[in-house]
Amino acid sequence: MRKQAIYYKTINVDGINIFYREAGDKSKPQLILLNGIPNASSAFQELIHDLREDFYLVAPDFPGFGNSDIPNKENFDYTFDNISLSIEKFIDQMGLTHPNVYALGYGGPITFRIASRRPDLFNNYILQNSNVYEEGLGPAMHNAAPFLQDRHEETEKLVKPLLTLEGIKLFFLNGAKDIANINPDGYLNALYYLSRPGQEEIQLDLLYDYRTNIEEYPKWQKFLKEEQPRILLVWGKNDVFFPLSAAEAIKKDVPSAELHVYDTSHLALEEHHEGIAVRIKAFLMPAN
Amino acid sequence: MKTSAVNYRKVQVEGLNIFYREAGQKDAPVVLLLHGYPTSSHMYRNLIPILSEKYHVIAPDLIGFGFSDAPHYKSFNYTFDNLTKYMQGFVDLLGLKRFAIQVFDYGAPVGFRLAVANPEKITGIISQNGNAYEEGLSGGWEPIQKYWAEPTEENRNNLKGMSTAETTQWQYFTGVSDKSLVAPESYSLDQFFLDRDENGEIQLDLFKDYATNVALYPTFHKYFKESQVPLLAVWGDKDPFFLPPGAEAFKKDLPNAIVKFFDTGHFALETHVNEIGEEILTFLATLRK
Repeated sequence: MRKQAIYYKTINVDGINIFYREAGDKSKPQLILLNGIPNASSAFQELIHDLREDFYLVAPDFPGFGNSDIPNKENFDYTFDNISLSIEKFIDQMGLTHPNVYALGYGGPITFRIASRRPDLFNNYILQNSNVYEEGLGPAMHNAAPFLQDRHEETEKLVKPLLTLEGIKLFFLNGAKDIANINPDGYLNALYYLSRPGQEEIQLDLLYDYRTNIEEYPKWQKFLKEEQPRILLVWGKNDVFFPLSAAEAIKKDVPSAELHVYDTSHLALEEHHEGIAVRIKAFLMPAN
Repeated sequence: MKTSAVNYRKVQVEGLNIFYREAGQKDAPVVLLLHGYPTSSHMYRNLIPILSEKYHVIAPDLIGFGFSDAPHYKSFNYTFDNLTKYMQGFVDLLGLKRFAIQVFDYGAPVGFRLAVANPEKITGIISQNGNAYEEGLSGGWEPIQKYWAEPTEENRNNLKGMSTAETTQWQYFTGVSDKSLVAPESYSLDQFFLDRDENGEIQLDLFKDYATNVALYPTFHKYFKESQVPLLAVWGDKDPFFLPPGAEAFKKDLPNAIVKFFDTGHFALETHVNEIGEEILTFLATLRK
């Protein structure tokens, strides 16, 4: 059987070229994959390989990230709300009528902002190391808290290291079981993209805006409690940003949520994409 | 056991770290994948899972490339002979007794040197746009050939443009009809490595030394003729550096060579990994262990 190819394309959304990875037959169940810092859609490359025969997969880079355009700060506010508007339009332009969603890291706040406006848009939810609860904030987020409360030169020093190789390795390696399993392409490519001129300012703007996500958490919790969506939780338990307590909090409000825990870092797909792919297939294609 | 799991390791050869990707069962026949310019074993990332179901796949980064050490160009002799010496040390350290080699671009002169030195170890050769014949060299080599003829500072500096982001992307896209098949992390990771301090000088040294590869072509031909090693050429027929006649030429010395062309450019694995992977699996299945 001919394997499904993976395509690397762009689409113009409100004047911004949004880059996306695309694979699979359009007649298959739709799955949109959302991630932000540090490695945008490239986080899903191996998972797309694993799932491309069974799903229609689309993974965009947010404006300012990866291979998408980097609009000027004067023309584009780097906020979660603004990015969620771009991604919502992207979903419509791509003809994703009722997609399943896989949200990692920044992908969660983008997903829940869109779901708050359009509660029926997403079909099933797969959440991986992406947070909606105060108790889900891990040590790396607590370290960033003074910056989120009050951004100035001194507090910026707390978070700027996240954009260096050492910081990027926090996402990839911190809590990983065996570093020999982790492809170094990933973190060096992330460094290449985050080292581009202007990236630091954009990434700090967006990270500072994370405070608005924390303000929105109660709204999204209410959504979860009332809607009781179908949720698969796949979690790298040693994540320093959104540890296992983040998954457990979701499960408390949505008891039917299925939780699978992996002994690894924030970027759990690096070590466990194959196992996670098996869980996704079972979750989205229960007949198998 | 998961067969597609890839390990990322380093070993030391004469004090330098050599990075390599390894996958597949340890007792399966070995395939050694040798990368080209300006990339690294990264170029084999999609081929490795295809081959590793049946083979023990090992893909090192040459010294000066990818995740292997890249000593300063003034303290290390960046020649193909020297790159080969470290690959020989790597093969010996891993204790590889019998293996097939897959070569691409710079991997070809390194791999063919290894084969000449260790004919008893080589079970077969896969050349993906890995050249060994003058008729394979395109006009794109002219600025480099000029530097060979007159190794002046000016001619050296004229080659600096070959390591820019624009040229790297040009290498990936030239001859590719569906450009949406090329993953951006390919050329961006290559550029990350090329943009490191003084890596450009390393590349200029190797451009200069490429003349020694052409000088060795008759030696490679003699090895082909005498060994009659099984050879598969899988060739992007729109490669701006290595022309299809370079693939056909293997048949002059190896009448049984299999030559397959693909409608793509230099980095044929970026666009045709499944098709090329099938050809390679078919070929590998015919080799004596």
